Formats: sequence, C-alpha cells, structure tokens
Amino acid sequence: MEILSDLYLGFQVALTPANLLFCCIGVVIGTLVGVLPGIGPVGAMALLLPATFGVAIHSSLIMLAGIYYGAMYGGSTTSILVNIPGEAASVVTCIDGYQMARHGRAGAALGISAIGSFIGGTLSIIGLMLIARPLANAALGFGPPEYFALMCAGLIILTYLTQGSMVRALMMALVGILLGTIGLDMVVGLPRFTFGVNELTDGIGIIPLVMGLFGVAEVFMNIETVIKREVFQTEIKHIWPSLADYAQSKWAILRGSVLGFFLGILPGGGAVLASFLSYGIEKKLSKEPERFGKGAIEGVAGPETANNAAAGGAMIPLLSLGIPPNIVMAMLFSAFLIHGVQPGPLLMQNSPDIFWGLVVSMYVGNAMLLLLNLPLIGIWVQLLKIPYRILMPLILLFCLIGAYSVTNSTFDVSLMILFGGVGYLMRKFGYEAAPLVLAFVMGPLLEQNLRQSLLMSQGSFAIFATRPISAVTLVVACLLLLSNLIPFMKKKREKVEEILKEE
Amino acid sequence: MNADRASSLFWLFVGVVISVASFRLDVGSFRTPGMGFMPFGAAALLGLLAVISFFQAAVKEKAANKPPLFRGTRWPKVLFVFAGLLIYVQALPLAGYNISTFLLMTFLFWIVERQQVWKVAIFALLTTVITYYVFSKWLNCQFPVSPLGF
Repeated sequence: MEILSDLYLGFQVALTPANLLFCCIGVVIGTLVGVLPGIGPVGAMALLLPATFGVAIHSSLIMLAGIYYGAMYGGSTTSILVNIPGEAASVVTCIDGYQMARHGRAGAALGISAIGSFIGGTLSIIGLMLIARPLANAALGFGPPEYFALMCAGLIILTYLTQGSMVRALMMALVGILLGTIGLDMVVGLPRFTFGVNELTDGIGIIPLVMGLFGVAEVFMNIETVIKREVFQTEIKHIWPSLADYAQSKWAILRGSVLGFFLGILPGGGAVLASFLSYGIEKKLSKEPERFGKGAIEGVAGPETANNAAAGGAMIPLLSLGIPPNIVMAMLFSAFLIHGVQPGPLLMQNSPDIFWGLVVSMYVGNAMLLLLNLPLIGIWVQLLKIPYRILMPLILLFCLIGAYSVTNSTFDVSLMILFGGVGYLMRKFGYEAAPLVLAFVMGPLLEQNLRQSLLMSQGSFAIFATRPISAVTLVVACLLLLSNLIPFMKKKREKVEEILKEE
Repeated sequence: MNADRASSLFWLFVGVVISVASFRLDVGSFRTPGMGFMPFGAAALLGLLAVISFFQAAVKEKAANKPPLFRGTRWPKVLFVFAGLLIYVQALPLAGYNISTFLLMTFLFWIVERQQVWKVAIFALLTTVITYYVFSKWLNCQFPVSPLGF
C-alpha cells in the first residue's frame, strides 16, 4: 500500500501544469538532440542546466531526465533513416533499421522502436520503484569506507566496460579526479592548484567541462571530416507495425527490457552496452540469424527497448546510493547538488516529493514520447535536412552562450573552449571523455570518503578489508583490474570488442 | 615516435609535475591526510599507467602500422575555429555581444563550408539578432554591451 501512496504523491508532483510543461520541453529537446548528430544528451543537459537555476528542483530534474530518455527515442530516427546514429546508444539500430528503410519498411522500424522504447522505459520504471527503496534502506548503514569502495568499483567497472584500452580509460579517470581537486580544499579551506586565479577558487565548473569535452569537441570532429548525410528517400507509411511484426518482436522487447534495466544499474554499463548486447542476444537466439543485417525487426526492437530500459535502471544507483553510474547521471547528480539536494539513501525519506515526482514524470514522459514521436516523425525527418554548415556554427554558439550564462563571465567560456580543444585531441588520440567526467564529478566525494575512512581507522587501510561490503566491492574491482592482465581474460575481452566493432 | 607513445609521454609528464606540486602542498600522513594526499596518489598512479601505456604502445607499434592521425583530415580548419573562438572570448567584453557574435558567426559560417558572402552575412545577422532577443530579452541573460551601446 505504501507504494500506492508514494505513486499518488509522485503523480501530484508530475501532473502539475508547470512540471508537465518542463517534461514536455525535456522530451522534445531530448528527441531533437537524439535526432541531430553533433550534440548528444550530455551536451544538451549541460547547455540547459543553467536555464534551470531559477526554476523549482522538481521541474529542473524532470526536464533534464526527459532530455536523457527523449534522446534515446530520437537517436533511432537517424539510425533508421540516414544510417547515422544520433547518439551512441543507437549505433546498433543502424544495422537492421536502415535495411528495413531501404526495403520500404521505415515506418514499421520507426514504429516498433518507439513502441519498444515505451515498453522498455515503462518496465524499467516499475523495476526502479521496486528496487530503489530496499537498496536505499540498506545504504543507510553505509559509512565512508563503503562509499569509497563503491565509488572505486564504479569507476573501475566503467573503465572496464569502455571500448578501447582499459589503461587509457583509467588514466582519464585519474585526470578527472585531479581536475576535481582544483579549488578550495574541503578540510583545510585553502586553495589548491588555483595558480592565483580567483575564478578557480570554486573549482572547475561541470558545465564548461562537459560542454567543452562533448559539445565543442564533437563540433571540431565534424568540422574536421566531411560527413555526407543523405536522408533515405522513402515514403514513411504504416507507422503502426503489423501483427506479424509484433509477434516477431515481443520476446526481443521483453528481453531487451530486462537486459537494459540491469545493465543500466551497472556503473558505466548504461544504454550503449545494453543495446549492443541485446542485438547480440537476439541474433544468437534467432532461428534465422541470417536475416540479421538484412532488415530483421527484432534487431531494431531489442536494442531500442534495451537502451530505454537502461535509462530507468541507471537512476537506481543515483537515487538510492547517491552514486552516478554514468556520465548522464553525473549531470543529473550535478543538478541535484546545484539545487542543494543530496541524492542518496536519505532522498526518499527527506524529499519523497522529489524522488517520486521524478519517477512518475518518467511514466508521463514516456507516454508523451509515444504520442509525440509517431505523429511527428515527418518533422524530425525535415530537421535532418539542416545542413552541417548551418548546424555546427549554431551548436558552437549555443555552447558559448550556455557557458557564459552560468556566471556571466568569459572565464567559463575560455575554459569551455580549452576543454573543447582537449576533447578534440583526446578523441584523435583515442582517449575517452566519459571516465574523466564521471571521475571529476565523483572525485570530491571519493576524496572526502577516503580521508574520513583513514581518520576513522587512524591511518589503517585495513578498514576497507574488515568491513564486508567494502571488502567484497573492492575484491570485485580488483578482480576486474586483474582480469585485464590475465592473458586468457584479456583475449576474451578483446574478442568481445572485436565482435562489437564488427556489428 | 607514434601518437600513442607520444600521448603516453605527455601524461607521464603531467603525472610527474602534479606529483611534485602535490608533494609541496602537504601530503600529510595516512593518519592525517593533507590536502596534497589525494592529488599525489592520483598523479603518481597516472604516471605509472602512462608508463604501462607507453610500453603497450611500443609493443603494438611493431604489430600494426597506423597511418598518421591528421592525414587526410581538415585539421587546419579546426585550428582556425579554435583560434577564432579564443579571439571571440577576448573581444566579447570589449565589443559587446552583438558585434563580436556577428563577426564570429560570419567567420564560422564561412570557414565550415565556403558559401557566398551575402548568404554568410545574412545567416550571421539573423543568428545574432535572434539569439540576442531570445537569450537577452526573453531569458534575461546579461550579455556585455559595446561602447556604442548595443
């Protein structure tokens, strides 16, 4: 019964006219950034975060969350119609989605991806409601050693799951931690690595960092290479899939929901991994695997469901433990902190309206997306025709204005441009930005918990081994680290990476 | 030297410099960690991983011959855009939002893909005016004003 009263509270919050409006704005912007290559959900969230400073925290979080799952919906449109994914989680949708479009079945592909996304998103929210409370209750007993261990494990799992070299991903996580140490030391209260620059006393802002590494760097990459986009010229008809399509897709959608939800909970797992694994599983389980790559509807339904289900799953560590499992959640985490609310086990007790309002808004947002996406596909297709020569300078200008509007100072803009240059070089040299940003966000908490743990234990690192949760978590993290050194495990990991690249 | 090894050396340098700087900040002890404790540990680990990455790159270099990173790309354009953005930031407080943004957008529209000058000027003007009204008048963003008053 408790859950029903919680849901009632959530609907009271989510259905206020202001929150409905912000939810609608969020999902529309999310779909837009998902459709348009050049700026992903992270960049869009960073861009719009300053605009939410003046509104209530409920509205701010509802809009930012809407951008995330809206982008998951929108990303499929470009994958299916242009063969260019709007964002990373839709890469795998290109394989069969584009083939379906070529065979005149673009409508069915777009339809099943929207319906699968809706089902995946809804099921994951139900999972979130069921798991979040017990996990938050358990987390109330956690102390600094447990939090330190969980954050370490989170970062290590994230680096383990990133494509490419794990060593490099770990290096980027360390760079993120180092960037997070800039500013006033939380214990001594003295400036650290500020080089006498007053603006650095509060540390580097998340907005210039993320906009630079994701928004500006992406534009630089697009300027560097000529990308020709050709929207597949086909009449989009029969958007509602046929009964045969549903019959073929139903298990893919269910499997995608479960897989996406659980992978979303994993640090670093998230939507990208969920979509790739879902595709692999569907191909493996299919009686006619040869259809995959030639327009199999399960190859669209499974991954699209999984990436939306992952969006709901990823909320669990953030809302229950206060630990963002991926970079998008790190942006949401920053939004919580900016509004003076600490996400974590006490959130449900202290601010149930925020927790349940956000959860229920995802139901509402998913329904809005279903209503918006199918009838408005024609408009999204038109947007795809905006030429790069117009789009890229506009994205740059929005990034500049977004960075400037945070503090009305050109310092943040300079930082953003600098990080844009760094992000471009990182991409060129094969370093990923996601571990850097996640470690940057978690860095201050990681340091605080490490120092508190050492103070508690009077300088003994044994405190991490004597407390069961931290011990088990750190052992798992160490095993993952070691697995990269053991030749057998390393070969397996490299093989998986090769398969993912081929797909 | 290939790109992977060069980047590893760069991070090794960063790790060493920050380790030294953190040490000077006061590392403290395990019992009472100082404010240089965390940065020192992170920088030392970064240096160590950079060494591992360097040797991994050396081994891989023998196995595969990668083409140079910037070959066949339009990297000079990126450099120009980067420089243009830096100049814009410096010009913004002096020339105000409208003038500096118009000049920046003219430059960006022109450099990303060459177009007719009148088209570029119209796009830049429209972008500047629309963003000024949306962000300054509607969303109350306080843009710098030029000495001419706009």
